[in-house]
Amino acid sequence: MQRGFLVLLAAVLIGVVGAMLSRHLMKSSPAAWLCQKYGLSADKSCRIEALQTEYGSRCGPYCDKMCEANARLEQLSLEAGLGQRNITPTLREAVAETDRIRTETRIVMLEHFYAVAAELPPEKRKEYLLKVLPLVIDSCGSK
Amino acid sequence: MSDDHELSALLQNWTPKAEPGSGFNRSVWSRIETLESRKSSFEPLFSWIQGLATPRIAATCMAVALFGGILLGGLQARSSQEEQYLHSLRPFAASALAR
Repeated sequence: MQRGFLVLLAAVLIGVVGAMLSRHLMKSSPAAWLCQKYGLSADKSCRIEALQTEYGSRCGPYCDKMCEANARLEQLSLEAGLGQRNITPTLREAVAETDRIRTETRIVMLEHFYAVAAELPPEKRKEYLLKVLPLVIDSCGSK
Repeated sequence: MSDDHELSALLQNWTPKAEPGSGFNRSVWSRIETLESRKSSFEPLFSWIQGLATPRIAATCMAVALFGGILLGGLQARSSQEEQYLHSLRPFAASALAR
């Protein structure tokens, strides 16, 4: 009975190791998954990878600006909340600044989605856009 | 003092006779039977584990576990790839990947 339990335990461990190894080996870049899912050729795959890299580079400055704007907004709103507890013009401007940066970022995202969709087969474009547009469009809590 | 000696002698010679109750033997045996029936009802549930000790069955079990683990890992990796792609589109994640 003891030997049987040891065999059972070893089998469970082997199964877990096999699963982890399989997951690690199947890991691929996000863009590579997209190319595989929509059956894109090697040329298109390279183009998609390049678009993804370019998109990441474009997002970088916006992320830095957003971090700074958020930090400023946090400080101003805390000061206003602990002080006179009203919305000063400076605070209003800080809120508007974060909205401006968010708007520009969403435009960059949409441009990237359209560029990627243009590389996909026409019949797959709607499916792709339906997956990615929720990242830009708020759901209003309906979903 | 002689009374004390007599009392001591009497106490030394006196042996208590504690008789068990009339149902004592019966209750002990019924407890033993209950314990043994509990053991025997669990044995069939785990008797198959003894079979795993056979080398051929153990090897088959390991092979099935390995294949099953690889299959499950692959399926799990595939199902999470879409989420990873969508996550990579978020500006912070995208810029982190590009850096």
